[in-house]
Amino acid sequence: MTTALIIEDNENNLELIRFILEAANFKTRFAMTGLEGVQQVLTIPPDFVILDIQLPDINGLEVLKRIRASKVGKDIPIIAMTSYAMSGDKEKLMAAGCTAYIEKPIDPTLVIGQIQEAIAKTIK
Amino acid sequence: MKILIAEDDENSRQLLETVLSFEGYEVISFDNGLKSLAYLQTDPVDLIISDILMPEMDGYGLCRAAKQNQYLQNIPFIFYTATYTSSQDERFALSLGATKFLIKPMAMDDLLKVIAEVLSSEHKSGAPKNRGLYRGSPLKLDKQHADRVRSKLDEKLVELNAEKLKLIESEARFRDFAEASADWFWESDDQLKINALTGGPAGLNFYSLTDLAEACHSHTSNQMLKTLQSHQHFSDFVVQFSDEMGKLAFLRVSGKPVFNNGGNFTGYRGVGRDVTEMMTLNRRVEFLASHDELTGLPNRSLFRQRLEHAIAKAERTGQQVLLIFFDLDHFKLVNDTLGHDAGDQLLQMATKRIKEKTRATDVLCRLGGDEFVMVMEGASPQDGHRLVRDIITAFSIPFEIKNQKVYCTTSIGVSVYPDDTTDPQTLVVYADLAMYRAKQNGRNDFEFYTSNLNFIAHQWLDMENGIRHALKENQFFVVFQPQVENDKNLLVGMEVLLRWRHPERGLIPPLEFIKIAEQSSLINQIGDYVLDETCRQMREWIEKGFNIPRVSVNISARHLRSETLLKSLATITARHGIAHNMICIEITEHALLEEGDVVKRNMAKIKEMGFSISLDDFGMGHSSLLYLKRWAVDELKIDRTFVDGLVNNAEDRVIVKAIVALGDALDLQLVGEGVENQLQADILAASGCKNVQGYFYSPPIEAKEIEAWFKKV
Repeated sequence: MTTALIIEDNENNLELIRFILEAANFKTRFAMTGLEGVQQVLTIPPDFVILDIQLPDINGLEVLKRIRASKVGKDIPIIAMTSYAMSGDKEKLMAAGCTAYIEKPIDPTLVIGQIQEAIAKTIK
Repeated sequence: MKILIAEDDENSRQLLETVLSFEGYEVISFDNGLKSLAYLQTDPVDLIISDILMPEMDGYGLCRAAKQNQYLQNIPFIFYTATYTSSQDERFALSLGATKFLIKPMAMDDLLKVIAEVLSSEHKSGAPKNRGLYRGSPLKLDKQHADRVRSKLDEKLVELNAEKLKLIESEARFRDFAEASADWFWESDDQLKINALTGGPAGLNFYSLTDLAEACHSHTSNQMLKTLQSHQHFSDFVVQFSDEMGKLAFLRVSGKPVFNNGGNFTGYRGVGRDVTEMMTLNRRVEFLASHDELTGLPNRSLFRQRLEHAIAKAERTGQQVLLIFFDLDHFKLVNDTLGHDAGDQLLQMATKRIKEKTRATDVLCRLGGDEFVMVMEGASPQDGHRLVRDIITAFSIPFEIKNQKVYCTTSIGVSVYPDDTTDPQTLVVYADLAMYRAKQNGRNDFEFYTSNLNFIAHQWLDMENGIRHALKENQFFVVFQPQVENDKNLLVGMEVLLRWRHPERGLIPPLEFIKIAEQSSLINQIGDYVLDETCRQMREWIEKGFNIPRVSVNISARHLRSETLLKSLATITARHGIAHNMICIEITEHALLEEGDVVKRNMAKIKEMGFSISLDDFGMGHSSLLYLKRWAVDELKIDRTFVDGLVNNAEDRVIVKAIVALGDALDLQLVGEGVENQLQADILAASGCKNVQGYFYSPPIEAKEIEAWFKKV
């Protein structure tokens, strides 16, 4: 079974994403801070990561960079989510090795498709 | 003269009857004391000869009864017995009033002599002749009276028989108890030999109580032996033995000493109970109390004991003890994320990985949580360093738990007894502190408590990594030192030497890195590199049309021990098309010290393949003619220390002369090493050593430069 790690500090968002993923038969784990998230990826690598960009300690971009810098995490699909649609944000994330980028608010009917597309892309 | 014989053994009785009748005595005999006594009540005799051990009434009983009866007390009484032979028995018999105590068997002539003596002295003594009821008795008993006595005796006999039946029944009853019980009933003689047993666990096979005592746990064994020697009561000694299936079994034994009427020790009687189940259970309980159930490792309390024990031992032997503290990095994360059972599984797998790297004598314990600690006895900090590095490497491979890869590294702290402290508790604290420092350094690392050792260990590690890197990046290169014929400056050979050009540090002397490389299989890779580079260079020279002399290549002790050496020699020379007889394998005497099977095989095979063998540093410490003979060495190199001393040290001159004489006698090539001036060269030449190498002729030079020498050829 494919396991997702959700790195998200907002409990409501976390529950929502979790619900959607589990409904689509994914297994989920979560981390509520950036550092915790990085550590989890490096220790117990998931099949893919859902990464919120706004985090309390280190921001999503830093999380992304740290994961990509490691041997374990360099090839894991990472899908970033953010409610800020700041210009240049997406480019910075993609340049740092992000697999896909989903803007909040997410559309529950579309999000699974977007994720599956992202995963399929990396496997290729 | 009438003699009464009381003897239960039919053969003995018949013998006595016959002999005494022949001698003219009137003989009457019975097979026990009671019947004899009954006869004596009515019929007088002149002498009683009695055995001791008889049924119903023994000889002692008969004697006592006779001596207490006023009509019988004057009849001489002779014991003739084999059963008891100690002087105490004799004293006891005589104290009852016996005239003689004779020991069976006896020559019949002697016996007759004694009988005759006893009877005649009895006559002479003039003692009242009131033996028996009739003779000399003031009362003439009539037949009626005699019948009354007889019937009374008959009643007594019936009574005794009834009692005997009761005894038999009682014994049978107790035997039933014994047989129904799982316990082992035993008896021993006064020599502690076990001679009667009932039941007992299968496989029990003890010859004597001493054997039994020796099968006790060591500290109770002596105690039991002492108890046995002093004939004291003992209880609850636990004895170990193998049951019929060969499994360890335990018996709890108690015994009481037995003494005869005379107060003499005759043996032990006692009981043994199979307590295997209980002991096994006890051991299990003990194991559980001292071990961690999850990993099976000793726990904190047993660890403390082991550590104290190791330190006490090290105090005596003067060895070092290493304390190594492990902590799994991010263990909590695994526990929280994958659940406790995954965490438990990780602990078990981590234990296994650590154990695979340790020696059998290292004691690994789990202190609790994800903390492990290990006691390493008789190990140097270098050993510890090597071990922790191996363990860190082993942890770089992910664990597979619940179909999920888990990357769990470990942080390690090391403290050293007695260098850091001599106190066990402090040693633990120091190792813990060092581990904490390793964690702060970013985990997946080790630290020694003492910064100096830490520095050395890390330097060591840096050097090893450096060597690995140098091999990959071609930072090594070889140089050649000419070997010449002394007087003619003629090139006869060359020795290949390794050099390392570090991009930042420049040339690193071999002394600095060879020792470290020799600690691991890196030295083999270096050896292969040198051989390969040499052969490549030789091929190049051959292609250029040079006529090159033989080349000496150094092979390290470790490489000589390795299984891969022969394959390397064969493939590398083949790769460059270099004939084996163009290469001389140079080894140090030291390398031959460890004469393993591999060394033997390798040495023989090297010769067989056609390489020649040169013994380096000859004369340093271990020189043995045995090596020269056994390994069919072709060449000896006279060590530079002797060459150094040639000018000023007469002793060195003598040694060199001796080596040269030896070389000549065994038909070996000789090369003097480290020749630095004319004087040394002259003395060597005068001593008869023709071939030399040294700065006086040429330092080691690069391939290009040595080509100039070839042209001279």
